[in-house]
Amino acid sequence: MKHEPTVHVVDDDDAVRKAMCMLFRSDGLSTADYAAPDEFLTAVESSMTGCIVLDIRMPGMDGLDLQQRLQEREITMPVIFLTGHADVPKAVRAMKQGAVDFLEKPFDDEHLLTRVQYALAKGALQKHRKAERDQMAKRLEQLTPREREALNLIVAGRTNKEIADQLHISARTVEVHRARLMKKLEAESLSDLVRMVLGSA
Amino acid sequence: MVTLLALLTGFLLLACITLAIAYRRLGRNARRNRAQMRALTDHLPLGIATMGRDGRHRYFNQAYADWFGLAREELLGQGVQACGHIEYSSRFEAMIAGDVSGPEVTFEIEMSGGEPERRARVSLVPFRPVSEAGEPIVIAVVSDVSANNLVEAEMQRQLSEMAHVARLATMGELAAKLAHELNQPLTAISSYTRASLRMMRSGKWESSELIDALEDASAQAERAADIIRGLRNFLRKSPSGRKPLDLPHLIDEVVRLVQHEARAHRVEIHVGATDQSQAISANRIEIEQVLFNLLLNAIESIPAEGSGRRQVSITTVAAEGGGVEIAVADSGAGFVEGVSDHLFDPFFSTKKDGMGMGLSICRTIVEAHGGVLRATNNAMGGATFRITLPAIEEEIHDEA
Repeated sequence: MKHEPTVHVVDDDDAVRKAMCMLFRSDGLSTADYAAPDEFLTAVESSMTGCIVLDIRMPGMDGLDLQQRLQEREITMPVIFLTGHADVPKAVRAMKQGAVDFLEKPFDDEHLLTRVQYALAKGALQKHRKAERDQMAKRLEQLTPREREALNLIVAGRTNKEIADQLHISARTVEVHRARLMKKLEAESLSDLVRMVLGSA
Repeated sequence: MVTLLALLTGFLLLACITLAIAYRRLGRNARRNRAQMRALTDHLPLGIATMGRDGRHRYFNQAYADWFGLAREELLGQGVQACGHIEYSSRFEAMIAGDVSGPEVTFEIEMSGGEPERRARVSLVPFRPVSEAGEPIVIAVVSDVSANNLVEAEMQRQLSEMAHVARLATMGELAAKLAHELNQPLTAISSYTRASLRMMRSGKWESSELIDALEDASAQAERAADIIRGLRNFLRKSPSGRKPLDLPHLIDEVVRLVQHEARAHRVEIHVGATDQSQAISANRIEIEQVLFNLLLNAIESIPAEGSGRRQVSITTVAAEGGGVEIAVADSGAGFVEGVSDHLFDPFFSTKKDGMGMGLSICRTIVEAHGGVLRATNNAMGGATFRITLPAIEEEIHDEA
């Protein structure tokens, strides 16, 4: 299922939630709103894209706990926290848990929209990187155990001769492995190969 | 502070008695004991001396000489005049003019020229040795109280600082609660109106959506107003902790708390009659808060530059319809007619840095006690705030 980038607003205050959604829509963004953390946890899927705007103080589960639950489920959409009053320890914890921002209510609408745009861009970038990583993982799975060994040594900067000695095979065989794995991984050059392998780590 | 002074006085008397006993023994084994006693008394923080009827110093310790800033030789065998303090000499002479058997005399003297100012409490104790037919002597005990004064001032300062902090804490809590509760509707109103503006400016809007948004925004403004009303009700209903109130004692305490502030403003606080023939029941802390606020306001209402009387008075009388009436009157500027209607409104203040919650809270507290808080200008200038609190019987009847 394909999702359009969406601003997910989680706030237990109906008026605040609806008003914020309207503000985001006025900026041309699509929105989804949730009145409780549980409601969001039920609806959210890891394939969703966009960002999450979260009230830090909600009954049941507070915003920080929700953020942690999302991380456990590997939902990586960037989170912007909203808070009614400056709470330094909470802000610190939120940022340590990877929040994009921590805004105090009442906020400046321009500032909030700017931060949401930034979060969406960051989310898109993360999504893109993740897609690349997933693709690379799939390609790596096609390698034979021997090819994987060769790959590790190539990336470690060994020469064909050194690799042949270490794996007790001929230099000619190393050449064959190298050509095959380059093809399977769709790498154009050695530097391309190194970048791919390191990027997928 | 009173306890400290009582302790000090007790200590003084004890020292005198010890000294007197020591002195009696001195007669028996004079030479040996004299040195021993000197060593002992020289280490006391009190100045001690004995004088004969002729006023000559028979004995004195180091602290005594030090206090008058004299060397031993300058005092030895000299009369009290040598101390160079007129009040001291004249008090001494007044004592020995009689038959030297009257009660001890205690007074305070000041040492001029010193910086900071030095004050001493002097006790002159007449003493007639029992075993000796000899003439009576006078024991003088001099204790430096300038240090005590410093301690007292420091304690006063700390007390009023504490009261200030307590007051600020109450205000701070209130303000934080208010800020938090008002934040939600304000955020919603701001988002609705900003979103509406954006949509209208971009030309892409539907009137139904805008109408919804504006209706919601105005509902949120009403919600904010409800919060303010709710806050006033919240303050009104806190009848916990009501007990019979010892009003004279409470007033004494509050006056002590504002004394520092009063001194800083050069204002004298006069505690008038405290009639409490009618028992009242109240939350002590709340009433203390009210009196504290009213007294502080009264002190601050007296202009710094004014040349007139600088007085604040607090008086308690039996109220006409039962209960008590506490009046806090100041000789300040009073208030402008027209302002009196708003004096008790929240966020109304005539002070430059006032938050305008003080009198509003005061009235709410007093009304929660079934009382009334009123303000009037005095005929002779200044203003008077009157708290009327009902008598206990009425209170019980009310709650039944």
